[in-house]
Amino acid sequence: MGTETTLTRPQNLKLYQPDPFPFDQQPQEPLTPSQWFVKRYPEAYNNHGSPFLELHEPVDEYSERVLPISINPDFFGAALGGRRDLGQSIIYYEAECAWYFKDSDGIYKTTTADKLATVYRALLMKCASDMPANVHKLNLVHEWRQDKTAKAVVNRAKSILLADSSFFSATSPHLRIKGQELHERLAIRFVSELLTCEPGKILMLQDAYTAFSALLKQRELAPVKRSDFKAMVVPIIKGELDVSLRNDLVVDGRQGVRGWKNVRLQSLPA
Amino acid sequence: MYMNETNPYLRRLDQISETKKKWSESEWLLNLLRSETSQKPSIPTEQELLQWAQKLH
Repeated sequence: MGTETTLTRPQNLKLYQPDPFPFDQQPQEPLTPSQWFVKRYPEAYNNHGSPFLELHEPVDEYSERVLPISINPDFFGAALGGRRDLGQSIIYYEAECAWYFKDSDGIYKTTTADKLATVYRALLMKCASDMPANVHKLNLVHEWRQDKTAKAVVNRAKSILLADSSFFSATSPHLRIKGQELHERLAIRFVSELLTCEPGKILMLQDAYTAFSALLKQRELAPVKRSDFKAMVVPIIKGELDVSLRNDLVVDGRQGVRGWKNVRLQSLPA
Repeated sequence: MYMNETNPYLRRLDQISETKKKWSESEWLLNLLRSETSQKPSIPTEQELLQWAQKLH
């Protein structure tokens, strides 16, 4: 099976082709590495094409030998994004140059490039183990599992699985284990659930900050500076209650107090 | 996989077996990404498995 044979018989070099009549028969077990991967990662195939270029050499009238001869790193970069049919999601969060995966509790947790390389290598090995005897496994088990290819795939995955800062924003549906947006999410709940408009009432900035700090402590979140709290909560109160922060309030004879007029803080939940 | 179309009991067994296979594959992949210290989920009951499968659709 030399180079000459391959070059003079290009019809034997095959990219994955979907079954043109998929409803004709019961689903079959994958017989080639490309079939194995496309069955698990159809979206990666739709976006990036065949996982391998395979050489299919007839042995006799009824059988052939299959040798995967070239790998498509884009396909595998996309496949590292996880299996959609299993609810998986892996992203590269550009703002922190960090990898996150959605754990089984639905919360995104950090992982590393090395662990993604392990996933890539494990998938190739699993595929090789599932292949029938007529599939040549050397490239799957040895050549493409080397660090050089694994690193190239993970590196390619960075751009394919890139998520910008809005992915974990305070209004995004994605939750992660720790991040500064958790404070903002809590601030949104603090305003919508604990503050109400009530004529004649005054909410001092200091009281709001004290109450918010207590909520953070209750939830075992890191404390925030008063200035950060102010920067975060002022636009939320304006948006939710249409009340602006004032510096000229009078409370118990003290002048120039900072706070919100006609806003009441309800008691904190236990 | 062949699904038994007529007997509801066998159909449920097929469904559970298929879901178990999927769950195991999902956990295998997630375990490769988790750190050693992170808590791994306990093995789900049949009911939890079916609920998990339902959430995927």
